[in-house]
Amino acid sequence: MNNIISIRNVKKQYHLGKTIVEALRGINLGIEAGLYYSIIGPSGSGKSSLLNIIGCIDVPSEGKVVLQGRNIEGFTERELTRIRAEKIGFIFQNFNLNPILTAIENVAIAMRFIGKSKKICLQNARAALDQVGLSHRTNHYPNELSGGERQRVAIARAIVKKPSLILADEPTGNIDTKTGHEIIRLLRKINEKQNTTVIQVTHDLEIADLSDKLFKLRDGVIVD
Amino acid sequence: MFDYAIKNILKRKTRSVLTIIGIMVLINLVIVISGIVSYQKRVMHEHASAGVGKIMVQSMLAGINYPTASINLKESLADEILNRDDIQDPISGKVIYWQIEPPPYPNEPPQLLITGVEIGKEAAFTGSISHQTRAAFGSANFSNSIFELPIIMGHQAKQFLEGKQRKQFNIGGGFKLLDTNFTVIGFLEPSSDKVVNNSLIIPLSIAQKILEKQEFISSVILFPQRIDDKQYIIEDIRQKYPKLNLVTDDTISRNAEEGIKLFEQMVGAISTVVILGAAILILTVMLITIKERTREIGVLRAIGASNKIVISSILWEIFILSAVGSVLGGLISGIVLRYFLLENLFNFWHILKYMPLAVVLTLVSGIIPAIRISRILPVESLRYE
Ligand SMILES: Nc1ncnc2c1ncn2[C@@H]1O[C@H](COP(=O)(O)OP(=O)(O)O)[C@@H](O)[C@H]1O
Ligand SMILES: [Mg+2]
Repeated sequence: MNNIISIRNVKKQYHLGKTIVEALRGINLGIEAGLYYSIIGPSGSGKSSLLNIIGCIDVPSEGKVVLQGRNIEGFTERELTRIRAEKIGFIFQNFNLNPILTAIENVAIAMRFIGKSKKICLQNARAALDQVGLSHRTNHYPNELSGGERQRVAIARAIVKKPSLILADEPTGNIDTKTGHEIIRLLRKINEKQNTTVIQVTHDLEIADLSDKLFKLRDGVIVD
Repeated sequence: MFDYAIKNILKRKTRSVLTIIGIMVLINLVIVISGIVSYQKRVMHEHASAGVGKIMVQSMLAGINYPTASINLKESLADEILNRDDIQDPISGKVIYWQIEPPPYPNEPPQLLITGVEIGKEAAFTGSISHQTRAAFGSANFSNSIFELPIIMGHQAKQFLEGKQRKQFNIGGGFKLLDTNFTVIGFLEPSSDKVVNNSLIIPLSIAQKILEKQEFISSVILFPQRIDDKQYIIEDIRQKYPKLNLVTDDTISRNAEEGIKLFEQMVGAISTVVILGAAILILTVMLITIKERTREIGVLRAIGASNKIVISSILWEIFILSAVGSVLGGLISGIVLRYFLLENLFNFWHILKYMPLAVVLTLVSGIIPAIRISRILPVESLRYE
């Protein structure tokens, strides 16, 4: 019962015009603190939908997401924002860095949202960039960085606030295999050193092998 | 999020510059138009106060304007009105006004006019209860003049004519007016009465002759012996001559107020429309910007930015654009008011008064973008373009 998140019979439907897409058809799972999880499954199986719901970026159409002992349905928008700001670090497949901000500013801004001073934010951002091995790129804009470097900036942005949970949606999807493996090793290191729970979505079985636990998804349900 | 707003503004240079120019032009328009109106208002009050203590009697047709445009009061009737004990004889007298150049702005006296005054009673026209306009050079009255056709120039009249004829006038020099050769005997110092400033003053009888208005005048000016007598004199003349109009400083200022009120309302309406136009300009630009930035804002929301934070960044952006536009508009309008009008209408406080418009613009044009932004959900960060 040391689950930080429990998902009970979660369903997710999308409305595409008149047709309804059933992305998740009843998911049950529990996430324990400090473990490294992988979600694998073919394209379109609902991996991103699930991750977004876990990350409080999206809400389920049906079912319960229990966080800190409370169903998230009961959270106000402000509380959800606070949880995203303080507890969750999100890493996107396509990086989602802000093109008008430098690497260090992209990282620092994530800390501004938890009410830290600009100076503290920049200090921590520098440390986070150091941790992902990018201390020599702090003042570069995203379009001056390689794919691997961009994803490292995104990881720095996710870890700068020391979240309890890191969610990574195909973090290696847009970068070459070798760099991808480096990124995963980095995430694993963060997981081990800081005891941060990590949930990653991936296609790559080799990458999935690194994790403590594996969820296989097919057509919106977890198989074995 | 002030720094973030600045970055966004600098990053989208063309958009920012064009928006700022738009605001600048519109704010400039508002400040210049209202600058002209408030200048006029000031002039009118000065104009009205120049006549303090005077009572002017003129024909019904002449209306209640000062100076009146008509010369149709019988001189014999004027003499009858002047024949009373409770007025100061030396400074009460008959005058003729004749416009030569029309007013530069509506509601102002003519830019140049002929004023005919009785010899020895020049002060009825050039004086007020508190101040007598003296000669800067030469003489301010005709009594000792040895010339047959003497003329005294008001301060502005002299400058206006010198500018126009590209020559300097001298005391004792000749000056041709309506085919008559006058001799200049005096230049007046500046007066708070614009009519005096703009007048070419000649003896009444000569004015009547060259204007072919023998036996007629424009107006009788009366100065009460004691200020307390003023009301009694007004009542008395009104009773004896119900068909004549009486003009006092109150009438002049009331008249002026009314004349300018319509103008002011019009300018108020124009300003409101122009400011609204500026607000719509910003609104449009910001809505497009938000549309472009939906994903960026979604990402901010996904990584923990509150609604308040993303809204404040957009409002800062709007405020900075409005403020820069307003300040530049203020600068340009200062230059326009100072150098590009017939007169120097520059007034720092007037321009400063319009600077808070930046805040008004932000509030008016910020509401809809703020609502739009608050509707952007964190899931937008996941949209793939
Ligand atoms: N915003 C959306 N609107 C409509 N359909 C969607 C949306 N997001 C995902 N889907 C659909 O839901 C299903 C699951 O998608 P997703 O969770 O992205 O799968 P995965 O990440 O495993 O590829 C797919 O069929 C996809 O087309
Ligand atoms: Mg996906």
